[in-house]
Amino acid sequence: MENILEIKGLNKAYEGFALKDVTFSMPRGYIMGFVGQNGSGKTTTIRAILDMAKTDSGKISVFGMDSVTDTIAIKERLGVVFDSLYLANHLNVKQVEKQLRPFYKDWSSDEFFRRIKEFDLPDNRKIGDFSKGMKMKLMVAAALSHNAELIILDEPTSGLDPVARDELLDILAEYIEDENRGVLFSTHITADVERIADYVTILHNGRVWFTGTKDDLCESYAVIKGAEEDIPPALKEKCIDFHAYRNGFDALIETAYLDKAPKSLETEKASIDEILVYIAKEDKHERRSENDTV
Amino acid sequence: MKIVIKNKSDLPIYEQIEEQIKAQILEGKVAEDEQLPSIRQLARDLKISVITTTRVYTDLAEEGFIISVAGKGYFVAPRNNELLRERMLCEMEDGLEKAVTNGRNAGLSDEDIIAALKKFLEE
Amino acid sequence: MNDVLKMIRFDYISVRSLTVPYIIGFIALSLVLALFGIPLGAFCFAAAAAVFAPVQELADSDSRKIYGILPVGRDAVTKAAFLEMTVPLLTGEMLSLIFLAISNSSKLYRILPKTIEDIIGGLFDFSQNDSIITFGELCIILILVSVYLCVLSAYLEMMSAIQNREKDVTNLLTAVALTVAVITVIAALSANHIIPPVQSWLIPETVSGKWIFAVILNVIAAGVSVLFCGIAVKKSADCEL
Repeated sequence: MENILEIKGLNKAYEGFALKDVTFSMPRGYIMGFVGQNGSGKTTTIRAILDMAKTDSGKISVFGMDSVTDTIAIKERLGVVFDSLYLANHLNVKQVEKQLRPFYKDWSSDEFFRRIKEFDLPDNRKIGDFSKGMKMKLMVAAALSHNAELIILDEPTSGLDPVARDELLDILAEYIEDENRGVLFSTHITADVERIADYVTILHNGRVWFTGTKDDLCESYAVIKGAEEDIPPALKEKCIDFHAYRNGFDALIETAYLDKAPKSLETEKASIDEILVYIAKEDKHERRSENDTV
Repeated sequence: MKIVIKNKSDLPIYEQIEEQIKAQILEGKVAEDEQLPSIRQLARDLKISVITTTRVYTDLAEEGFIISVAGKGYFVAPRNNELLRERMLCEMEDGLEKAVTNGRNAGLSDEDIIAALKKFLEE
Repeated sequence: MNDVLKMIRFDYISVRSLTVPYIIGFIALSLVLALFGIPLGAFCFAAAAAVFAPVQELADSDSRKIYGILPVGRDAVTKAAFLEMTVPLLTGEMLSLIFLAISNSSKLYRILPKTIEDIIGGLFDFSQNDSIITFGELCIILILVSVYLCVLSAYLEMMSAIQNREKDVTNLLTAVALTVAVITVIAALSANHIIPPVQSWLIPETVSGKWIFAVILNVIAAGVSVLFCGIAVKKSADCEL
């Protein structure tokens, strides 16, 4: 099936930070969780998709169109939800509708107000007074009202209470029932991804650390624990962030190596959260040991 | 059909759902030929990934519990279905094997075990 | 609808409730006062320019992200910003001149009590021979100020489109300081009779000369805005939002 989003060899250097050869793609009909620590490059990648940040090299295509030359045609069919509101705070929902309507050929005012009602948003209150959850729902309502085929959400769940988070997942699950649509969803709250996402892309220090189906990710990595003397050195080398403490050790490991593991070691499924923590810690340790040798 | 997902379970979500659907089909709680929710509907209802529900239905269809009708969706396989029958026999054999092992572990003689089985059959 | 108009409409809805009622109120008040001979309306150029002023403020905040979300080209956004600045300024200039003309010709203040009539007449009646400045000269000065503001704001808008917005204040201060310096030097030179008085060489003496001068000034202002806008469109295409 045609990929709804495709990023190839994206490079972008800022002072003190760089995206390096970011490559991943997303088929139509699925939800992709885009995870990584703060500062790993998620927002920069999204800004590049939206042609808000200029890239040094690489190619991004959305709906098969080029993200730079066809950006207007792409945005016509794209819904974007940022973690903060991009509209003037003193407006109310009706004024916002008037503002957005002329920009989209497929805009449906009926659909917009139906969603506003469904999401319980007051249409005469200033949007600046809305809670974070309400602002997020307003942006989602706008995305749904112009029949967007792809919704990109940047940290939509950060700062949301559990009820609002659950509501958002509900909305996304309903949205994706149409198999021609897609959702790219950046977050550092991995519990949301764990459940609803079909695909996961993990970004770490500006590089893609993993991209593929979530099931693949969860089956490829495990947490291994036990006594330090039980682990063969060859296996220890394969460990990601080998962490030894007084009574034993724990580490992340690719499940492919597990058949070489002695029975005395415990293994368990790794959650996305655990994977993120291990790769972040490994990085810190490496940097520390590099500093030590200098 | 009733499906409950436990987030804290050790079983992956797809296995949990597969087990529950299988159990309900084997116990006859869902009628044969009953239409199942579509892959995307089920994903939406359970708020889980579409890939997970796709996997559930593919696995169940492979094992003969459900059949896929092109353009219509998924249905519970008819009970005279060869595969399903075999599955049920397997389940029975598994259960009997376990019963026998448990009985022997408890020190029962073969006659005692047969007697116990007969009692169940009479019920 | 054209993308530029869509953007202007978008911004207009954002600022409508913040500025428009006050500016309409000010214009109405100016008209009434003009009828009584008080040329408050001369400040209309500044008031009209304030219609879209909050857009600059809003553009500084997160709302700038909207341009990464909406299906509009960046050139449309830049062009809209220039139009939102130049058009109200030049419209305001026209209004100022109209109100100035009304207050000059309307003698409605004559119906007021004698003492007030004398004060207003003494202050604003340019037909009297002893007034420091003639009506025509006042009009030209007003046009000069508007045109200066128009060029200045177009310059600042261009600089902030090219560089980032943090440098806005520095740019503004530099431009204003430069202007003050030039004016001071000219004033000092003419006060010391090194050059002839400003009025004699800057402002044409005849009425038709004044008209031509006014038109030329406005054409220059519009031309400079278009030029700066063109540069901004070209340069900002590679900027980060």
